[in-house]
Amino acid sequence: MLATVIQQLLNAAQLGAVYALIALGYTMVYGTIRLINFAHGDIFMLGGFIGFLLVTLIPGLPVFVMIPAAMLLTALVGVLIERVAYRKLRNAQRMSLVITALGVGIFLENLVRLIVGPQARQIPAQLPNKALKFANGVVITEDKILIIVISLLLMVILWLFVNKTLIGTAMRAVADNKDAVQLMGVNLNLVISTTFAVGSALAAAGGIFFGQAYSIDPYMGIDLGWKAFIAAVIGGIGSIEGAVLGSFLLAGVEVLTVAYLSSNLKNGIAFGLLIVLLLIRPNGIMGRAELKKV
Amino acid sequence: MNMGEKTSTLITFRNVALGTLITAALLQYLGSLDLFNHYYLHILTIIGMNIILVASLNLVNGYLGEFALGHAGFMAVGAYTAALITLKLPLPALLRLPLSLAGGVIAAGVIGYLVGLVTFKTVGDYLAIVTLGFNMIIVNAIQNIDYVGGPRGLTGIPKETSLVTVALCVVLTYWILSNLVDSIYGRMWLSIRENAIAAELIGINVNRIKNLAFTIAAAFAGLAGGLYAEYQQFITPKSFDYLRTTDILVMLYLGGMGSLSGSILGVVVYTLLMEILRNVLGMIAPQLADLRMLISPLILVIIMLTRQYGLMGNREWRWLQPKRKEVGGGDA
Amino acid sequence: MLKIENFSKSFGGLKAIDGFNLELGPNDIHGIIGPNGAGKTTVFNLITGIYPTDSGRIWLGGAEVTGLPSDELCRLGISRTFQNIRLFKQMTVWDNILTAFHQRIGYGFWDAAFHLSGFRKRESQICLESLEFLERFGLAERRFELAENLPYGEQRRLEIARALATNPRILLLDEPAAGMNPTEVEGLIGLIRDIHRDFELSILLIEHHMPVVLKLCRHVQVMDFGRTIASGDPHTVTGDPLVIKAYLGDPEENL
Repeated sequence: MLATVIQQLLNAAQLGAVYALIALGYTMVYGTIRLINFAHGDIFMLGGFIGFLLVTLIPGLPVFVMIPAAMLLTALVGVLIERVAYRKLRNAQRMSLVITALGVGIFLENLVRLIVGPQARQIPAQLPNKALKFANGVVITEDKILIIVISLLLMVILWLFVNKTLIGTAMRAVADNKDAVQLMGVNLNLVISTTFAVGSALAAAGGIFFGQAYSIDPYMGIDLGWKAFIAAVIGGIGSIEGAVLGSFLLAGVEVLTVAYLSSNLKNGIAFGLLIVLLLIRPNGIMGRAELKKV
Repeated sequence: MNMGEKTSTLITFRNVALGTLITAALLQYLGSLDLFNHYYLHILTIIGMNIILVASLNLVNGYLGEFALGHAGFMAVGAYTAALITLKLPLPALLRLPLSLAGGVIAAGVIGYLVGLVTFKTVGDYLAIVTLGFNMIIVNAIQNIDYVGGPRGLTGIPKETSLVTVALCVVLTYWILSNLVDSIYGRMWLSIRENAIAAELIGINVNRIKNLAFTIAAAFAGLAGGLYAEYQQFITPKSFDYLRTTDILVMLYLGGMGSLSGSILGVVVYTLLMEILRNVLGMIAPQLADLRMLISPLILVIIMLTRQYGLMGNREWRWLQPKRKEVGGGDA
Repeated sequence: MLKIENFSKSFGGLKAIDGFNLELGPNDIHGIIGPNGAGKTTVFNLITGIYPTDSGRIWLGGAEVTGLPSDELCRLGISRTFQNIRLFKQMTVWDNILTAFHQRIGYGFWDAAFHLSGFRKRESQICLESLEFLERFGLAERRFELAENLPYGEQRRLEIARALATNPRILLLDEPAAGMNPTEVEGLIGLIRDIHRDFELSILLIEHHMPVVLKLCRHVQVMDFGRTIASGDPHTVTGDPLVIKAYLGDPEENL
């Protein structure tokens, strides 16, 4: 009995970690340029596939080299996308930007599908997954713990980055008031590119971890991206702490639903949670009320 | 004010509609005699159904200026409802199509209304994500209901749809949509898009009017779904997923937001383009034909980076333009 | 006609409105003046339901309307214009007014969907009515132009006309003279006078242009830091040292 509970908790923590890694990218980009980056879920997917391709093309590549490499490459892709597709529309109608993001996402999905094929795959380079046996018949595999720990570590690094470094402060300033920040001599393009780079790198880590724990396919970004975005909204869009909180909350509810109700209901529950929460707290758990200027 | 512009009165909605129906009937007849390529008939039928889908979504994403994503979900509701009606209910042959389509329209409309009710009141800003999620939930739900075939889908649906019936539905759809657009409702929708706060302050119940557009759009998606089911004779949940929704979106933005003419143009151009690419690329190498899956989203991105408003922008062909109002009650 | 008791509103930690009261009788024209940031537009936003009040109550024509949503308040008779003109820019002048006629449109959804006779009849009647309405404001000639293409002064006029199209009992004008040259201001004053005379309504006016206030308003309220610091006859009030200090700062402090 205890064994199952611990298992479920760990599953929830693992899923929550993955959601958080994706949700952070959504929340940061939304915070700085007010864009719901529909392509972000696909960046998550792309990161997983880049990891997959790296270990497939370079046999014997140690997993702890693959992960940072994939994160870096995905970060570059994220920056490239922003530069090519979004930058020009920064001051255009919001709708155009959203539609473009959608187009980019579809492009990535189909690109990966064309290159690798539509079927689901597992990433071959496994994290060490020795089964650790504890008292009370609790068996935990190493990789689950590693995923959770590394994810938390990444989140702490992000927090430090955003709150303690100069560029992180610039990111927070841009989220607050884009125009004023430019008047103070901050290079807006650099800040935004960094935001995309960091968000994409985190999402890539999420993609690789998800590929380890489950599998990857070209369209997984849609399902998970949608839920990660909901997690970010639940936590309060624009808030980093909120994204993490919302992610673990959503993952917990989802795992509980699958374990005790039915796995068919998990999407509906995610949806329902969003609606219920927005009814109670329209700005999410940690969100700030954004006042419309009339 | 051009009082004397009596040119081109031949190209009116009525005439274009009649022309369309007559052409459709003719082509279908010729096709039955094997005098007209069946493949072309097929393409035209698909174009017709897509026009209904795109034009109805245009109401929400174009005129109203919202960003709703799950249109295929309502198509699914309509498709499955219509399919079930024809499969499970004993109906005289002549009534099968109209009744099943009516059922599909009503079912999709009701679901659309409920989704809109919840969405606009609570999470309006996140309409895109919520409608997307809803699309997934619908597909998910259908996959888990054995009565409707689950993931295997429904087969053996009688083929009631023909080019003529599709043409009829397109004409009907356009008649109703253009009527609504050229009425107080169209003006209210546009005003909400232009300035929702001002619209509210002239007494418009914005959520209610938004949901009205949403419901209508869903209902017409249901119509297209019903036609689709009784044409393909086989439907699975996968036919109505996110990928279908994004196809509709590309055609919509290609044609132009807020332009019913654009919806026709967007569908025709896109469908033809995809077919040409499939055939041309396929002739070079069979794998290349799939490249059009990359070109489709690229079109979307390029439109946004260049014209931003699609091929027609928000302009209309003359026969779809709202009639100029003149004093004395007559129309120009 | 309009009575406000103890409006309060805070945004985050900032108390924007603090105990604001107002009484507006039928056919009155009152002005609200005060330095920038005093909370004048916020009061309008509270009255028209754009923001909910933290506390306080409001009555319209004797009936309490506290907490009602904006569209219902409009249907009950409150109309307003905005500091930054909020026209339906990509719609024609005529459509801007026609949309405001929606309450008296007289046909329903099905009439519209099928352009039934009920629709056609009412639509042409409404066209006539709205055209007369436009003529009265001198906008009929430009009725087919997009609202955003109108010169600034006419845009203001259109916004006021649209606000009147909903048949309000109270009209709130938020800095209608902003950005106008002296000729346009004179025209505006004349327009407001005519409106006040021809339509039976009360007018509440926020303005920085003192001549407008002095010429039109019979009663003026001065706001500073979210509360009323003076009220009464316009000429007396503008001479009040407290009011001058609010606008210009304390002359003693600057030494």
